[in-house]
Amino acid sequence: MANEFNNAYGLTLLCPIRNGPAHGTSHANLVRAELASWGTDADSPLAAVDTTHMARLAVLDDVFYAGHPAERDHLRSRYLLVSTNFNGKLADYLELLRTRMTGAVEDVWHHCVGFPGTSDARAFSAYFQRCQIDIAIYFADYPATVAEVLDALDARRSFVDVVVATQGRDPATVRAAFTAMRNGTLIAGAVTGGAG
Amino acid sequence: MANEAGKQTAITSLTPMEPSQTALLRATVAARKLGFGKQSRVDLLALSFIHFARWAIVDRDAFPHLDDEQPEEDLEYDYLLFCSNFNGTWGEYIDAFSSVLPAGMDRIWKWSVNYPGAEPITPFKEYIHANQLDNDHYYSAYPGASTNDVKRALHLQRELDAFEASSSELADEEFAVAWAELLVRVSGDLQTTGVVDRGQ
Repeated sequence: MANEFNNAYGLTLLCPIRNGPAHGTSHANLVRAELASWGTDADSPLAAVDTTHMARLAVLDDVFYAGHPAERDHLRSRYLLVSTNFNGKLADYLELLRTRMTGAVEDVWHHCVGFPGTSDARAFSAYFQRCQIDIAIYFADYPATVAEVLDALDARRSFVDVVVATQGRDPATVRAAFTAMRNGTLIAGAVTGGAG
Repeated sequence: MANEAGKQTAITSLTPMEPSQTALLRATVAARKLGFGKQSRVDLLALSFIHFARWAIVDRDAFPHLDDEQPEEDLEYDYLLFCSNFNGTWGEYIDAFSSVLPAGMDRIWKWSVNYPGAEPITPFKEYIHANQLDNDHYYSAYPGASTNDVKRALHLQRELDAFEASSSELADEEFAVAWAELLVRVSGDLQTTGVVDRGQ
């Protein structure tokens, strides 16, 4: 079991989806429709679970046929596959899913077998741990947390702005701009002063 | 279908394994003294465009069964699940695996039914494509950043932290020299790859 690597935790879930009709279609199709309605990037419900680096959800209708001479396998249920990469402990992450994505989780997972809802934290956690698949090999390219990555990307953007704005300026002006950048008080276009 | 988020692409595949082969894969992974898992991670680091990747083995009797409403699975094969988050196109990614890491990919996938090997490239691409699952939602906290963007930004952050600490007491002329030296050191960290990130 290797669910952790380089300060990241890889959670893999296979959540069985209910068989049978629902509202003139299948529960699996309704799960797909819910996921299709989610916003992307910062508008995704997952953005509220801010220890999440990257995550995917996919409806698994059936396994794939490997071709002759393989046997044909078929699943008797469909599954919601979830693969997420986050920082911190599993218990804390599941609690964030429960409390910060409540509506989105309810709308998707009420189509899944045995889902207890979001009101009981212990039952919620137990459900997802029953759906968890352990990882054999896990790779994470950098040990930084999501917050550290975002801070670093912001700092890079700001630093480039400072470098461009202070080209040819006197040291005092450069120092002031750098200090303002580090303090978060740099205003775009506001580098002034000095002999240039 | 949602397999992309900004600069990042997600591949999800599921390949069947004879249970006797699964046992061999588990034994190989468990043989840490052979460095199997470690070597695979070293290989992935060398590619330097993969943010996160995982392989998970799902035994044929290990698909979660949660209550009597749900029928029990009756499968011939175990399954190897692969999920990757990377920069670049699908074709570039598979090309890189085939050309840079063929032995590494074979170590993991040779236990899967009808796996053709990582070389030559065409059957390998066909195999991955045939066993690939489209995602219904894909999220990234920093879609505008490639792996190199992230690592360069983290390195720059460390340099800026060190520079702030070391330059606070310098006279202006010394500061100017230190600043110029800093710019030389971090010039590589200011580049970006792929589509220019906007607003994130």
